[in-house]
Amino acid sequence: MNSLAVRLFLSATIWIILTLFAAGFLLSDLNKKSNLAAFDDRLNLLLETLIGASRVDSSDGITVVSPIGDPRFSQPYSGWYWQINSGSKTLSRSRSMWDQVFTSDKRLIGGRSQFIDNVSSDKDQRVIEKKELHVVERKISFPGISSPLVFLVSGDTEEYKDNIDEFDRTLSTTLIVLGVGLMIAVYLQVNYGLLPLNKIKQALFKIRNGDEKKLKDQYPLEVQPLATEINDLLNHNEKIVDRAKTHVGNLAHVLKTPLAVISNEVNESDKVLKNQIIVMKKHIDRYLKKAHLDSVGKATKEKIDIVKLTKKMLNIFDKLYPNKKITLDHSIKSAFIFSSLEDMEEVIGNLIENACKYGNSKIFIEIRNINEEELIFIVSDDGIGLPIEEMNKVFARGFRLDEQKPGTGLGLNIVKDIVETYYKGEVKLRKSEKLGGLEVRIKLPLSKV
Amino acid sequence: MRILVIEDDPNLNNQIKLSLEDSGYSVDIAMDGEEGHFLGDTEPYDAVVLDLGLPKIDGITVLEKWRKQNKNFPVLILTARDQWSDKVSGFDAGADDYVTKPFQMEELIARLRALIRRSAGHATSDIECGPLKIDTKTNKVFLNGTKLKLTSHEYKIIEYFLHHQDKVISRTELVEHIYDQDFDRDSNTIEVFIGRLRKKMGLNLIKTERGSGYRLSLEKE
Repeated sequence: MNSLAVRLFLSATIWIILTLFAAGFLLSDLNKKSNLAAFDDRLNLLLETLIGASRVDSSDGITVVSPIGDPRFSQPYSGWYWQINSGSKTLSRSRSMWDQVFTSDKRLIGGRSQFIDNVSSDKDQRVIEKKELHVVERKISFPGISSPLVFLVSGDTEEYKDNIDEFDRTLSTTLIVLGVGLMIAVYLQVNYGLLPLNKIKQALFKIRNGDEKKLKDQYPLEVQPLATEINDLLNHNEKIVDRAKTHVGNLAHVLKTPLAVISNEVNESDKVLKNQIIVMKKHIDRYLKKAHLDSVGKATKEKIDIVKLTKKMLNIFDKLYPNKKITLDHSIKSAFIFSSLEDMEEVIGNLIENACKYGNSKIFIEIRNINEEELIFIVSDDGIGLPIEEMNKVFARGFRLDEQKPGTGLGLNIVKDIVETYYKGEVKLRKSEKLGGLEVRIKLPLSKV
Repeated sequence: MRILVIEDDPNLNNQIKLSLEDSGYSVDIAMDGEEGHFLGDTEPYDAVVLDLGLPKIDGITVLEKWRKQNKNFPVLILTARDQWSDKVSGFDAGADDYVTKPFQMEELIARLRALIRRSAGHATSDIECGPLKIDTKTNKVFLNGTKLKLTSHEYKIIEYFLHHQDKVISRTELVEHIYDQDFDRDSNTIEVFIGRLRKKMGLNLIKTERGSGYRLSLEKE
């Protein structure tokens, strides 16, 4: 029941089924009653005809002078019977009754001859099926006869029951067709009604993919507050990330400046203090990087052109490391990665800085793509490189290739963390065939254009 | 060479000032962004050391304002913020170098020296003008390979001339780049320094441009 569409569809369906069932029962019942009433009317009419056709004969008996129209009154066991009683005495009966007789409480008794041809010993198995009879009766006083006469007419209910069955069949077929039709209508209605929600879903997908920054379209009255709320949430999120980053920056400032003052005051000879300062610096760096990593992947993402960003960063490296010769080779004009700008600046900055610190003079950067799906970013240097067993160690937190060089040794860790944890990429190290030093190869999924 | 240090921590500020003065620079200091921006706007500095997290106006804004006003002196950002996004925005604002705290004082001075040299268009730490050669790393001046004995003021003047060869430099400009703000300035002393320098070099490399100032040149008068 987690889908809105299923919820709406199911609830409407249950309601439709219940209503149609109720309507069906009601209609069927109405039909039954009207059929019954019509049958009753007919029997009464026959009864009146019978009364009209009856004459008192000489022996105080009753003679039906003319047949009462329906041949079934002459057909034995037809179920269409009439009988005239005077008190407990039967004065006359229809021919169809054969050897049966109505008792005073309108029960049909007799009919023994039914069993004559019955070869079976089972007395209950009758040749002629038992009929359900509907009986009407009327008491009439005839002139010349002291006690009132009881006129009985019965008819086989089979006749109207067929009608009712026929009606019920048609009714249920109609109602089933109607129900299916309604369900199709509900299905279409639910889908149409939920269209704005699907639109929001697609818009949110676009936001996640970096095509849009917020929900732009106008939505129906009921959904618009949701869209507005989502936009507010996106803004709020951005603000929180910004605030967190500001706090981290402030912390860094607060701790690092006094540390700089202390380290400048320390005498060259004071080895203990110097070591402790280095330890403090390492701890501060580690925790700041950790705090930084917490904000990775949470900032607003957009499509970042890695080629353009790399070129921009190379201008910075010209100033930071004027003696390094950095060559960029890119086989594609642009390569878009869906990420936050800060994260990609951190990745590229750390990669190139690592090469600048550990390489001798030449650094080679290569950017290319695989099948429009993946970006390959390779940074190689001409430094001493790394033996294979050391390459794995580089990714251990806090490991430094060369304790003598400035930096925290966290650079490649950060790159690995950002690329592999937050951007589903891959970082690999190997010996550079071109320059002989270390080659760092990064794979990142390209953003769909 | 005159340097402005904008740093809100008084201890660090003082340490940098003393170290830079030891290395032969004249140093002005500012404790907040507003004062720093004003000094950079009004005084001709050869380089600026700028902190980012400053009271009143933050470092990035100060730098952006200067660049908008076409102040082109080299700026070295000295900050605790070591994320690449901070570095990128620093360079975007117009910085020329970036050093993160805590730092080695020697590294800061070396980077400043290189920055001043590069902004004057010199590629190496040695700057030459005919027989005259200066090693900006060690603050030593050589004439035909022999080291000249110079006072700190004399060194500052000859260093400034060598950085701006063949350019006419007024007395006021020299005063502005050689003394820091608090120094009791007297442009007449410049004449005395120039006279002593000419005497020590025994060569008239520093020409007098009548009415406008001086010029370091190999040309004959």
